[in-house]
Amino acid sequence: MKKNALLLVILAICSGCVVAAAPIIEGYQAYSLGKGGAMAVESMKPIELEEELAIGGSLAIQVFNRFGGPYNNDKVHRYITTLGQALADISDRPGIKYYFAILNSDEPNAFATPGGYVFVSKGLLRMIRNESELAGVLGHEIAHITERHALKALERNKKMSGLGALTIGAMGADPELFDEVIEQAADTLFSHGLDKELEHEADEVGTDYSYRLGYNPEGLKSFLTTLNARSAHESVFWSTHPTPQDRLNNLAQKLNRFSQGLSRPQYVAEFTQMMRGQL
Amino acid sequence: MYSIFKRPSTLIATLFLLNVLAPHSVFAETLYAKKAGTKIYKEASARSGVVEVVGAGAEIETSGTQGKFIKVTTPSGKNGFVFKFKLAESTPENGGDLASLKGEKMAVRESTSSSSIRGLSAVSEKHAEKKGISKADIQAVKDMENYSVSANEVDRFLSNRKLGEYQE
Repeated sequence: MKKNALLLVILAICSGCVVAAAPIIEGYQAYSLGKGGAMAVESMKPIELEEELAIGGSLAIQVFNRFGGPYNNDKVHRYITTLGQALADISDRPGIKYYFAILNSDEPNAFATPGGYVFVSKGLLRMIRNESELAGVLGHEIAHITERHALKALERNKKMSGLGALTIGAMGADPELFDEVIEQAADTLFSHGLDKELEHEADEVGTDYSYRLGYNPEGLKSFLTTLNARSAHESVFWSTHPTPQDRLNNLAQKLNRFSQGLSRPQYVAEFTQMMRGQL
Repeated sequence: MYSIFKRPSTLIATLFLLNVLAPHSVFAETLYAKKAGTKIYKEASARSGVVEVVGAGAEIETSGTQGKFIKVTTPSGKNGFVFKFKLAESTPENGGDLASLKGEKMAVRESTSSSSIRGLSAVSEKHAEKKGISKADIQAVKDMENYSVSANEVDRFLSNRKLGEYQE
C-alpha cells in the first residue's frame, strides 16, 4: 500500500510537470545537432549576426550568379514573400529580416544563405502542386537559416579552425580571409551540400513551421514524393541533398507528432490562382 | 485508503484525470515577445480585437492556455491572449554565447539588433567585384533586400486562409 502511495505521488508530480510544459513544447522544440556541435565550439567561436549577414549576402550574390539570376514577376514574388514572411514570423528566429527571390532557372532548386536570404527556382515552383507543399519547401529553407546550418558547417570546418573569432573587422581588413570563408561556405552550399543530418533537421523543423501556421504537415513530404519520381541526374539539387527517398524515409518517422494536422486543407485552388500562367 | 490503486487501470485512470483537471495556474511563467509588433488579443482569437501591441523582448506573464493561444498579462497590466508561437522562453540576457542559444533566445536578441544592420555589406560587395561577378547580380541582391510586404498584407493573407492566428 505504501509503495502504491509513493508511486502515486511520484507520478502525480510528474504528470503535473507534463501539464505545465505541454502547451509550449510544440513551440519551443529543441533540435540536437549531435556530436558536431561540440567540435564547433572548440574550433571556432560562433559567428555573430553582422558577420552572418556579410557571409550570407556574398553567398546570395553567388546564387544569382550561378543559378540564372532573378526571375522578375511581381505577382509570384509577392506571393512567395508573403507566405515566406508568415512562416518566418512564427519560426524560432523571427527577429532577423528575411528576403525572398525567384531564380530564373528551369532546374528545380531552392537555397537559403545565412542572414535570411531564401531562393526558389522557377523550375521548382512548376513542380509544386499546392500551397501546403510550397509552405513545406519554404519552411525547409527558413529552417536552414533559423538553425544556422551553413554557419555551423563553417564553424566546424577544419580549414577554418584556429581562426578564433571571425569578425567583420578582421574580414574587412583581410580580404583573403573573407575569400577563404566564402569559398568554404560556397563549397558546402553549392557543391558538397550540408550534412545529411542537417538536411533531415531542416525537413523536420520546416514541416513544424508549416504546421504551426496551420498547413497540412504533409506538404513537404508530398513535394519530396514528386521530386523522387524524377531522374537523379536532372538537377544539382540531387548532388547537394540526401536523396528524396532518404529524406522521405526520415520524415515519415517524424510525422507522427503532426498527426493532428493531417486533415487540414492543402490550399490547391489558392496556389493555382496565384501561379497559373505566371511561370 | 490506497486500496483503490491496487488495480493498475484505476491508477492510470486517476492520473489521467489529474492531468485533465489540473488547474491552468500550474502553467504560470514569464515568457518574452519574440518580435516587435506582437499583438495581444482580447480573446483567444485574432478576430477578437487587439488590446495591446508589445515590443520585442516584452516580459509577458502567462496564466494558462486556450487552444493555440496563451492567456497573458502584459507589462502594462493588460490581460489578453497571444498566439503561442509569438513568445519565447528566455531573454538573451539569460543566454550566454550564440552556441548555447536555442532559436527562441536568439530571436529576441536579434529582433532588437538586426534592424540596425541592414543592406548588403560593403565587404560582400567588394568581394563580388573582386571576383568579377556582374553588377547585375549584386544589384539583384539589393533588389531582393528592398522588396518587402507589409505586416498588414501578411495578416490579410493569413486571415483569408484562416491560418496562423486565424486558425479555427
